[in-house]
Amino acid sequence: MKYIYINIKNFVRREPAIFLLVLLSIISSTIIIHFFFGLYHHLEQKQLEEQYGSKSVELAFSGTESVTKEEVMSMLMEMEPDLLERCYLSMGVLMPGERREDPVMNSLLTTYTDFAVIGENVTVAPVEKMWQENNMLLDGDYFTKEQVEQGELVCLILREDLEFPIPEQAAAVEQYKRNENGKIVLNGKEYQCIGHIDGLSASPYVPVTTLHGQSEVVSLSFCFDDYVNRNDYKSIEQGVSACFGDQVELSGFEMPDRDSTRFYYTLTLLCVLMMGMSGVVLAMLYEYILLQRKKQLIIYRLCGMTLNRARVMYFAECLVISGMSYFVALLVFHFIMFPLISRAFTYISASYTPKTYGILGFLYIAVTSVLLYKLVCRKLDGNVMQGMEEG
Amino acid sequence: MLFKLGWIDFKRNFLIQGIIILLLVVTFLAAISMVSAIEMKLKKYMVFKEDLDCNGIYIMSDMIQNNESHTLFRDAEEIKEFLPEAEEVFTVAKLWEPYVNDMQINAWCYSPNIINRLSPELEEGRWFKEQDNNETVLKAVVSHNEDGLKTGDIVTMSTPLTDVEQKIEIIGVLQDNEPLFYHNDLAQPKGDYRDFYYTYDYESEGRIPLFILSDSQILGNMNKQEFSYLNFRLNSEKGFQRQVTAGTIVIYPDNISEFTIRENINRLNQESRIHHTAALSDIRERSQKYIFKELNDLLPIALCTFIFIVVAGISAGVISVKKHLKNYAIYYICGMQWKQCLFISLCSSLVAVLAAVGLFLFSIGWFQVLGKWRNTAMQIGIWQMLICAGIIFCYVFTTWLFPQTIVKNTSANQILKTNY
Repeated sequence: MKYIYINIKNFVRREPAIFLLVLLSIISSTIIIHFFFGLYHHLEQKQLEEQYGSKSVELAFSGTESVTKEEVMSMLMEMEPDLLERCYLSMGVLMPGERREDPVMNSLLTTYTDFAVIGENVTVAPVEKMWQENNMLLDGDYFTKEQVEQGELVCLILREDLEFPIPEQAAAVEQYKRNENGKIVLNGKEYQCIGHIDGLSASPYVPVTTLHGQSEVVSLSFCFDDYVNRNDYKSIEQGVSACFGDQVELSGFEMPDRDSTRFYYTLTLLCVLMMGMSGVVLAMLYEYILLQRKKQLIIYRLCGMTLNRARVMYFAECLVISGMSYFVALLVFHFIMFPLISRAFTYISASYTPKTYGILGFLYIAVTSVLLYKLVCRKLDGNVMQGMEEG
Repeated sequence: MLFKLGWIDFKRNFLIQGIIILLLVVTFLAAISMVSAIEMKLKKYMVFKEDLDCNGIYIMSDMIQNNESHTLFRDAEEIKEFLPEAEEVFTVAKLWEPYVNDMQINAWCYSPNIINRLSPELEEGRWFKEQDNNETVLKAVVSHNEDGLKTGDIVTMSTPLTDVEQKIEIIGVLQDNEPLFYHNDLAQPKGDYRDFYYTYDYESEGRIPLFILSDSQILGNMNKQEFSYLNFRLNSEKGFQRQVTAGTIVIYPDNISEFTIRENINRLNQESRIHHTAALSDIRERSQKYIFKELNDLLPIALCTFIFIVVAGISAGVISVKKHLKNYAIYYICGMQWKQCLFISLCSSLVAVLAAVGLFLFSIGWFQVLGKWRNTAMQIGIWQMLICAGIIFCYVFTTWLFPQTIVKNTSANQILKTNY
């Protein structure tokens, strides 16, 4: 340990420029890796968000009169069957009498449901695969076709250990806890919980066929597999305005923006290039440092140090410098950069949990260690005389 | 002799030079990605930048009707006659129910100023040229399609509304999702330059191809009595029905007041369906705010990229020089001057730079051939080349300056004695 400290001190004294470059490179590469890691996830989410916007038509119910589930179902039955077969519906309702003044509370109390209309039958929406891929279904099973069509009282709920810190919210969601029969009560009906989901609403997710006809519809989306085409949009617009007039607003018909996609791909490419560049710079610096230290390490070996000990000593020096620089970089990133970038990139904050930092740090140190060790073993081989000639 | 020594130096430290070459190539690619991403944000705005600096108005409408003749406006010239104070008018007119080979199509006629400003990306063929204005076969650029319409095809356009036909030669095929001048009537206006554009997506349009025609050619051949079915002035009884729709830009001289402009719009709106109007100055302001916000979001990325490129470039330069210093000290002892040694260092760096540029151009070309760049904004333009030149300059300058700094403060003897 003592010699590691002495060697580092001598390195700083003899080659201050190189030492500073090493520090700067490690700090900047650490910051770059963390930043671009978060940016990559942000870009993925942004792209998904833009694609989602173009693959669905969303209705907002902003009129003075509320629209009921029954009215929405009648409207759907009037629409072209061909259109409905190519999409599924995602609906949010508030139970009769549940509406509050606070929109946040309304969000929490909204009951969501997805369904499809094939012919004149209301059936299960084809969302199970997407839910599993996006880890929205935490455990249990999604609804079956029979459960939806026959209006079975089954539901999916949020994780039961979730806590709501605001007392008003906690009180409002108390109604969704299991009763003495172990069931979830919604609007007077007892639902069997068949799984847990990751969602925004505290209210259980239920089959549409179990909802009361007078439930107030607060949102409705027509979700397509592919981009919405103009004819479909116009059909939906006509169908909705024929039934509800001005009470309902449609989201705009947004065309897929190829320029946005290209932009995101370009930035993603930049992320990959920058992370690659970090690796190359570090490899270059370590290779140079090793070359500088080679003669000294040969002298140590001539004085009796074993090959392995020489390797371990150099390896430990580099790891100490890397580790300290990495820690400093992490502090700079978390306390200075992160507050700034999370304002510009909305999805980036979700990428940085203690677990993420831990995994990134472990990967960084592990990859650095492996590469360093290979470099050290290759450069510091057994032949002292050959090493002296080369030096 | 010095060049030869520089080359030998390069070969001697091939591994580290190879890493430096790789680093330079990656740096060029990263810098180009960054500049291309920024350019992409500005591209659509720059097309209409000069027009947004003018005094004028943007009209978003379904149709604009002349309340004196009670006919729909059919092209920019007609609107200009109706609004004598207007200096320039940009229009897109759509044809009613056009068909080609019994297949329904969409057909838009762009005014000459739109044709001159747009240069959309094409799958094949070309955009309109000035020479087309004198041609007697009507030229069209068609959207991406899966109906077999391609460059060089001569098709017949007809309409069920009358029994007229028009031969059209396809001179180009647009890329799919290409942004064109049009207004999306089914979306809320954004209030900035994005309202000028509409992305024509073949699938979203119900697999209906779009034909773009040029009013330059249609109106330019009036004295030859050509294209009478598309020019109501030659044949008002029979022809393709057309109407100015979507987005219309009207530019006035600077001395025309806002009051006069509003009066003009009120006159236009008497028998029209105008959804929304916006002063060009307002659009310009909002566009600049939007672009500024977008570039602001890019700023952290650009800053990180720049800082890292500088650190990487300097590291590469310093290491390269440090490795060669021992050799230069030996050359010095053998009688060479320091200036000559520094020149050898410069030559060695230049060899690395040339190799990096060569590898970079090769990789660009190779990826281009493989079509890997298609889904990115990567392009080589003047700014990208300038940035790469800047990177090269920084690297070469560092490798030239650094040894000078060292040799000033040390002797050849000291260099050899230190731990090299």
